[in-house]
Amino acid sequence: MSEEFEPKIVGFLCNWCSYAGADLAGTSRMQYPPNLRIIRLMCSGGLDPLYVYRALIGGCDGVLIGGCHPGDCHYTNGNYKARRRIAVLKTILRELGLGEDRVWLRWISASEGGRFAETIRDMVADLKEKGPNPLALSWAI
Amino acid sequence: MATIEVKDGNPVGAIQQLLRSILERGLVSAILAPQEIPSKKTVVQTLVRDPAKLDAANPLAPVFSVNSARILAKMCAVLAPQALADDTEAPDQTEAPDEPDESAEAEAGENQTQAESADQAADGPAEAPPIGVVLRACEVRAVVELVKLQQIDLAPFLIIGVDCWGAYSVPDYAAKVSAGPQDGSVTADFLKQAAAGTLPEDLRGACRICQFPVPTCADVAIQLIGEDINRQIGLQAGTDKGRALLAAMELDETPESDGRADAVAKLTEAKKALADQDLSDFLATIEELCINCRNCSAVCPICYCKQCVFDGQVFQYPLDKYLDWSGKKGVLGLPTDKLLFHLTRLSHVVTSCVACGQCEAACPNGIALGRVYQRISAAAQQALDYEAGRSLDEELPLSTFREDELAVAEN
Ligand code: SF4
Ligand code: SF4
Ligand code: SF4
Repeated sequence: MSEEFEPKIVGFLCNWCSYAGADLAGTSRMQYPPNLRIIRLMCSGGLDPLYVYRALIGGCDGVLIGGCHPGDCHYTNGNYKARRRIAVLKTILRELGLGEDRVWLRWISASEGGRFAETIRDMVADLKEKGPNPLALSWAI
Repeated sequence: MATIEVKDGNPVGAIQQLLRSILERGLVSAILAPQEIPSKKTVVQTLVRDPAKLDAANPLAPVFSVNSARILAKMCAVLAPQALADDTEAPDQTEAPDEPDESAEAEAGENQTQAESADQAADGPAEAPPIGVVLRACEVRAVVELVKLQQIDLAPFLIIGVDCWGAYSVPDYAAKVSAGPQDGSVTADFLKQAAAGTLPEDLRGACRICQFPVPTCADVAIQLIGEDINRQIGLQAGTDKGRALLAAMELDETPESDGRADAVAKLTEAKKALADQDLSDFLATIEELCINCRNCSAVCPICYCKQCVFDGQVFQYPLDKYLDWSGKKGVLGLPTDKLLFHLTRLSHVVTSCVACGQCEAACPNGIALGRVYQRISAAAQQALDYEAGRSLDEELPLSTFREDELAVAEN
């Protein structure tokens, strides 16, 4: 069954770095699996954890949060704050046994099209191994 | 530190006497303290200005009905009308000239909505005596967090924190009162067990595993743990305000009691041993038992938002949306957003959660939220090198960062 399973990933990408990195991967015709739905944010620091939970409970198998490398945030320090917030979110998921390793936080710059494509390939491989998100089977949304 | 003597083996009486005396001497303008209601079935917080009305005060009653940090935040919510007027001149002669207390209070009120002004208050003109507020340890910690969240201004208050061994739930306490206590009162029975180091097993869930029996950051701390409380009670000043109060009362300096540090450590260890529980049943519990009434949020001191995000338009869905979800999953549990609410609320509060367990007490279906919040908040605060209620100076962990940290959160 794991051959058949195609994980669904929601990617929250910041406008200035990771989204531009994804764009570069596209315009450079780099190959990466089509499992990702991108939501563009102005900054990773502006992501309310609510939307990560919403995606996971709604049944998506993984969530990628992409931001600028430390020191490179367009808004000076939004990514550092995002990192704290995501650390809390992962702690919550871990303590409740809800799979914090389905949430990835990765720094991808505007010039790192290759790193972006690789991230998606890695994530898809990892999620295929894990199998579908059990929360997808819950009655909750 | 200082000590006060306990007469007739009645520590509650000694604390009443203490509160009465600071009120009578005008060292405080009022006392906010829990008092037994006439039926004795519970205690409620009261604001007392008449020293004769402190006869039922009982800060040691092992029952915990509201986290009073919420009460203080509410008292700070409205800018006092007097403060709106420009009263830089001498006290207005036409306004209540025979009641100096009143205008003094207006001074205090001026600072109430601006937490930032707290440190300036000391330089202000004629300071009004503060309101003495008697709180248990987790309430003081919640006050500290709400000060940092700019919901409470400490200037008008003098915080009197009390050591806490724990409490029963409100219904359990009432049942014990009805059943007839052995030693005259549920408080006396409880203190006897606490002093003997054998805490009852039917304490509130959060109290059984509480890691913070001693108030931090209080102006004055009433120390009970490790004291022979039938003979004496310790008083420790933690701030200048507290030191001024103890000095005004002319109490003698006494050394800290020998057994105290050990007794506190022993109590904390015993409770810690009960804390480490698996939370993997949380998802099922929420799906089965939660009705999304959000009482847990309504009573939480840290859920202070004027309007919760879950009251917003984002969570009002058209009928089609329900059918859409149900179509995707095949079945949709209702009401919607129960798990989402809990995970979001956890994200919003765990960095400042003081593990008071009021959320659990408020749940109509008895969901054991206390252990959930205790464990997750401890883990999250540890990850960010923070401890809710530990210090007024430490920045709130989500409004700051360090450049070199939390590599574990990255992928
Ligand atoms: S759940 Fe979040 S938004 Fe709602 S009251 Fe609590 S802290 Fe505020
Ligand atoms: S979440 Fe629960 S335990 Fe934590 S502060 Fe709020 S009411 Fe207290
Ligand atoms: S009080 Fe209980 S039932 Fe109500 S929302 Fe909270 S956990 Fe759910």
